[in-house]
Amino acid sequence: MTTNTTSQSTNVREAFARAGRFRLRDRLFLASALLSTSILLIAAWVINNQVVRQARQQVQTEVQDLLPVYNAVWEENARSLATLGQTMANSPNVKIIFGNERAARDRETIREMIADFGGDLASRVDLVLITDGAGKITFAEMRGNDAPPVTDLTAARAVADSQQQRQCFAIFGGRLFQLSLTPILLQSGSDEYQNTLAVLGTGLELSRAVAGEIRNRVHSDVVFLTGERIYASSLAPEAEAGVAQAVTAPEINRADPARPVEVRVGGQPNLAFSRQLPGFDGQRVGQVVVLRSLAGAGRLFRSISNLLLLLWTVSIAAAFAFSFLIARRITRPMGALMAGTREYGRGNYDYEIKADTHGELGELAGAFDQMRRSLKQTQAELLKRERLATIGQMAGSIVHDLRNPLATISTAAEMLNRAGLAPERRQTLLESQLRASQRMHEMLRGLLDFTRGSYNLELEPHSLGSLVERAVKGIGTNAARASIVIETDVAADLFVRADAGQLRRVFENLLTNAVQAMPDGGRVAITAIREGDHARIDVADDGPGIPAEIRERLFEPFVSHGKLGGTGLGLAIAQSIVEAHGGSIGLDPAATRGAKFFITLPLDSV
Amino acid sequence: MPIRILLVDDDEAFRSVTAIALESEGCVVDEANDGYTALAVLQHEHPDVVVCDLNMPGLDGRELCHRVRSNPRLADVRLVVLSALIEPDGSGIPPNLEADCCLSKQTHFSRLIAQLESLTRR
Repeated sequence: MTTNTTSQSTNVREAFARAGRFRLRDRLFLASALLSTSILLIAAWVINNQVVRQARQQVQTEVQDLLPVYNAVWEENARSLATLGQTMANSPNVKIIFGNERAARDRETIREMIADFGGDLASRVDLVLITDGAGKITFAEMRGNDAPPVTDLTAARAVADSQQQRQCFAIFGGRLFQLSLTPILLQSGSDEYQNTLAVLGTGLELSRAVAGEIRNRVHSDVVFLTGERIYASSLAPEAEAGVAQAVTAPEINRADPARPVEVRVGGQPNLAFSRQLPGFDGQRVGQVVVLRSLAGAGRLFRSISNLLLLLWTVSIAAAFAFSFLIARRITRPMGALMAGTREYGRGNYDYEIKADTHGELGELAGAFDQMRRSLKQTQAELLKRERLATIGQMAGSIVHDLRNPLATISTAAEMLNRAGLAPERRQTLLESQLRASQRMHEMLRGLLDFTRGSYNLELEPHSLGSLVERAVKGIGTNAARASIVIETDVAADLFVRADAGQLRRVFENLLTNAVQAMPDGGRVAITAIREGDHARIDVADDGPGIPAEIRERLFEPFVSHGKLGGTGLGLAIAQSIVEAHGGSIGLDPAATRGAKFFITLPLDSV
Repeated sequence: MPIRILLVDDDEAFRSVTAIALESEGCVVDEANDGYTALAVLQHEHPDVVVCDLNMPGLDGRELCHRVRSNPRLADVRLVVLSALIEPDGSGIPPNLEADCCLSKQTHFSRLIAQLESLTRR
């Protein structure tokens, strides 16, 4: 559980670290994409707020403007109905037919009579009725419905009493009508002068056709309804079914053209207001709800949104291209700069940075090149100075090292010059002189070899074991005197092509160093094993080891520490001899105690 | 009384030549090939003078001088440094070297004898 959490948090950290390592190009792209997205989002917000609001306000203004048109439609219809009613009431035919009880029951006759009035309206009239003076309906012809739905029309009595034509809305048989009531004198019976006061009603149903007609005039949908019942509308039937709840909401009852309310019809936003449909006594019979679609504003917004989306896509693509180009302009020269710094880090000051760019990066590349030249110059000067210092050091070291044998020789010569010296002493002095001069020869030979840097190797196959054995024998006396045990463990099958004399110098040098490092005695182990096509020889001692401060420069001339009659060239010469044999020499850094040198030499393949 | 000398040098040839030279002047000479050996000899011997080289493996001449000087028992032992690092004009003497006398190996042997005599006379 704990492990799991830890690994998860590590993953999160790694993810953050990765996120922090975004390439320059990605960062530029993200930044510009973010910028253009925010600009376009702000633009969309502003457009939505300004343009769409303006469009909505325009619709609202139109709603207010359509009220007179709307009123005119009603008035026109009312006038037509009134005119028809008056014309019929004045017609002797009508008076006679409706006055004759028998004729009045013959619907065919009456239909023909109405048709005789001709004209547009007569064909459209949906309801013709006659009441007596008390308002009792004596005849009613309703388009599409034969039976008179009601028997009494109280409004008709008022018309009969007042002898005045009146307009109103009324419901008959579940249908809503605009109605005109006109007083008429019927001629009844055989006596053509016996007149009866009656009322003629002409009505236009508020049907889908009427709604459609209004819509054509005011460019808005209309819904006729009472309470929650919808009588007709100009809406598509499927939209009409779902509109009831929206248009019967209480706030629509109160909404007038100056304060339209927003309702959704069939998923589309509309501005709605309602008008009363008054009955004869001024009571509300029903209402008409006018719906002005806001879809235009929505469409405008959508088209603008589409345009913005297109713009966004284009700007994202542009941001991508832009960041790619910029990144190329920056990262390519930067790559060149980085390659240059890597080369300089390796010490290659001849590498010229090829950043074919101008501006800051070009200047930077120029500065880098200047730095390179200055470094190159400094390096050359340093090398020169170091070389001079090395020569100085070398000369000093040689002078000091030659002084020891010289002092031996001169002192011995001074003594030999004296008389009365015992013969064995004379012998010792001569031997010392000889040894000192031999050492001087050796020193000079080593120095010459080293400064020449090349060895005329006489390569011959040798058993590694015998080479090591000879070196150990050569150092044996010195080692024994210092109570040092030298152990060898060299595999018998190791043969190398080597210059025996030179290689012996290498082993002797390492052994001498080991012996000198342990004045109080100790142990030196020489082991040799096969490592692929090479032999590896380890020379390890029990001494104090190599001081850390000179480990790095151990194979440089005059670095060796606590030398015994050496030139300070021992390890440097050993290294050049081993390398001349195609091998390598080094200090094993893994050694825990003492010093452990290793030598690798290519094995003789034959 | 002959001058008793402990001669410390890692160069065997130089050591034996110098020993013969000193003995021919009537000195009694003990030899040691480095600083540690010298200290071991000084455990049971009490020479008048220690003549030592500077550059030696293990314990070098400078440290040997310091150890001898720090030992109250050896307070009267004179210290002479004889080194190839020191020039005949006296330059090249390491700082803080606690020796009574510093000589170059290039110096003529008679001068060493003179120095030894003047040091032991005091």
